[in-house]
Amino acid sequence: MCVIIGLYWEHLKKSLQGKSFWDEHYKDNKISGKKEGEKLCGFCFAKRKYHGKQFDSVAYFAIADYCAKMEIESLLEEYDIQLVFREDMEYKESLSEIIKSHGKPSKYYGLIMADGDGMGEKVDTAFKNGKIEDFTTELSGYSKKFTKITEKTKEV
Amino acid sequence: MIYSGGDDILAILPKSKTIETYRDIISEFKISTISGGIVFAHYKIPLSYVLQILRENEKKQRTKVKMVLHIIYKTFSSSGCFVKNIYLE
Repeated sequence: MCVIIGLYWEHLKKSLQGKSFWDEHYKDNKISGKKEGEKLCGFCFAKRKYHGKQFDSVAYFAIADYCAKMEIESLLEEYDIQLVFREDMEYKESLSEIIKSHGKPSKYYGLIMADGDGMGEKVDTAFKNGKIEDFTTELSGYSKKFTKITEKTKEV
Repeated sequence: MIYSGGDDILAILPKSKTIETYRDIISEFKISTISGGIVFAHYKIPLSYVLQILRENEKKQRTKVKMVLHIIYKTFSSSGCFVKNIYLE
């Protein structure tokens, strides 16, 4: 089953089930650069690696601070992060030890949406006063500041 | 950060850092006050659905009051409660 859209693709080749299906699928479609345990159909893999860029799954954001704290960030690059949430941690003994001593990582992430109040009026006033350029420059400065603030969360 | 267009922000973060980051953002912005919404969502819930909830709620609360933060906790299993019939009246 593709982990993103949740459709069963295994039924296409009934002789191959589970891991062997996905190994064959990546081989047949000449897909490289996937992480261990990543089960993505062609469409979702293309989205994940759009134009050569890596677009991480939401599970990555749920677990990122835990991995940084435990100094196991290499897991994020090596494995499909949903494996970390699985009950059987046989694939990585060291991880099961960490979970035993520090508890399981959170399965939740946070999504922030924020918007300035009454910005329409402020833009109108800036237009009237001929200060719209200064206003937009100031706003783009805040864009950079906010990006820096969110980047800071990657630090432990 | 998913996008940041001046006063307009959409960001995805680990759960433990979300409120702290939101606080930093509102204290940094000096042009006007900020209103917003936060959704804490299980990683298995489709992102498009989480975004829809976030947008709907942010829009709804903005029409009522400014300078507020609306928080939703969206679990993977549906949550509910039981009420005895006698209490319904």
